[in-house]
Amino acid sequence: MNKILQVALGVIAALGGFVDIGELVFNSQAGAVFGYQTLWAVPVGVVGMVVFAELSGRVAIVTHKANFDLVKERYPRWLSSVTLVAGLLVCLITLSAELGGLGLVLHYVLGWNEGFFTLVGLVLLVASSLLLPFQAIERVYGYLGLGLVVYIVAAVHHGPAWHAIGAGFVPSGGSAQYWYFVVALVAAGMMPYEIYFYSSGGIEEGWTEADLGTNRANAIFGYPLGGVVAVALTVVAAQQLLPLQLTPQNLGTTLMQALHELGPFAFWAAVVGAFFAIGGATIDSAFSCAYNLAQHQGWPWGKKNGWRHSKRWTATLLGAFGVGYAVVQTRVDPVSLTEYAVIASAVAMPLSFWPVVRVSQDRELMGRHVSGVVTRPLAWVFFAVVCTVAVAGPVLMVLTHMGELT
Amino acid sequence: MNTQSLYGDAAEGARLAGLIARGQTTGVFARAHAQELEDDVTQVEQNVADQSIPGAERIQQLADQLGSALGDLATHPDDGPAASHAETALTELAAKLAKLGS
Repeated sequence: MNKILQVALGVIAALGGFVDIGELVFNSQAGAVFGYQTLWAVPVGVVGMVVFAELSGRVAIVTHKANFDLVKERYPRWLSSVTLVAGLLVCLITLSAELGGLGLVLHYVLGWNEGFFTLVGLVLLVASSLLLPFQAIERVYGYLGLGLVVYIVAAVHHGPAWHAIGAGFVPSGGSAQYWYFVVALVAAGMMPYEIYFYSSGGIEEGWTEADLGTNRANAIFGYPLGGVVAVALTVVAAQQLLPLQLTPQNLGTTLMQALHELGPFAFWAAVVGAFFAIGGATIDSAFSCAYNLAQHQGWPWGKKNGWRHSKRWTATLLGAFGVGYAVVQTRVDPVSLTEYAVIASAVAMPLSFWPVVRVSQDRELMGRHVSGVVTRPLAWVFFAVVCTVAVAGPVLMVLTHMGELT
Repeated sequence: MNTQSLYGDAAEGARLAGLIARGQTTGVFARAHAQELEDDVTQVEQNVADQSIPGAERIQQLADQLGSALGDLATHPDDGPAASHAETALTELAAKLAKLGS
């Protein structure tokens, strides 16, 4: 019973933690511009996330090595350094975008200026990171992120055009702008910081081979349920904004859709959900910066050791928060920054995921937990998807001037 | 692109004004969001001034009216009757901008 509860809690945390500012921005914009036509990109990103999360969790459990332990071990020095720099940059851009988004959410409901609330958000997140146990951070932010489920309710309440929604899950052709959104939606579904955090988190939580089932269940059930929220964001935008030909340029428009459809209670649920989903993602990306650098440099790392015994890891964690805050203070628009973060993530993914894919298929290291007839081809298929996205993302970003929305 | 952005701000402003008129939103959110839309309009006005594009004068004129209506919403985010008038004005502005952009 305890095991079932543990799995259920992990699934709920993964559900609440799947959506971040990337989904809130891109899924709403995609629905407003293309209606249901980009819906098929969401399951592609979700299944990719399931595959890479399960795989990196399994590798971490069996080998006791997290993502950047493997990068360091498997790559020549120059390539591991390039991968580290790419991973750190992506996590820092993501962290800045999320932190800016957090300031905006607080500004929408408490007034004053965003700069002040970005600082409030930062203090809250640093305190959570230092004072809460690892599992509590993951679960509190994951559970309260469930407020975003209100978008599923809003989509159903509006009276969904089921046939058109179903047709949206079949890939269709379109303009360069359409493909830019498809690539961004796939990339937003499997941001690298989520994988870095997931694999290191397995080691933080002391997972053993007895937890392989929990790892699989969290990945297989949690992320797809989170994907339903991402789909709902697109559907709600298609229902409300497409008929007006109104493209959301800020988070306020996304939050207002819940208010418009279901009233004030839904608005507050969306605000709480967005705050904790974005806050959780900010913490995950800050932790990922610290995990990546510490694992690459061979420093002691993680909350499991206590901050006194992982001083350089803790200093990197705090430094990452500081850099993110400094970037936000340049008054860069968090929504534009999110678009850069998602495309930059696409570029960093192949380098980061390659060693995990290789190790998961190494029978000597993985023993009887080596990837089998299902997971092995899936890993290769989604590695090919990641490589395609890595090439297509920046090209389409330039060709379409960031989807021609800014 | 400029008229499209202004159209979006007008249409979103009209939706917001409608919610204020029906008492469905908080004053803090209404103020913050109206201010954000007004900032977008100011940015577009600046772009139009810098680019010297055809029809710039008409775009500037509509942008002024739009900025003013959104500014009123931001200043009086709890005033239902005023928001109702603003909803009508913003809807008309959105229609004019859509026509200008087509």
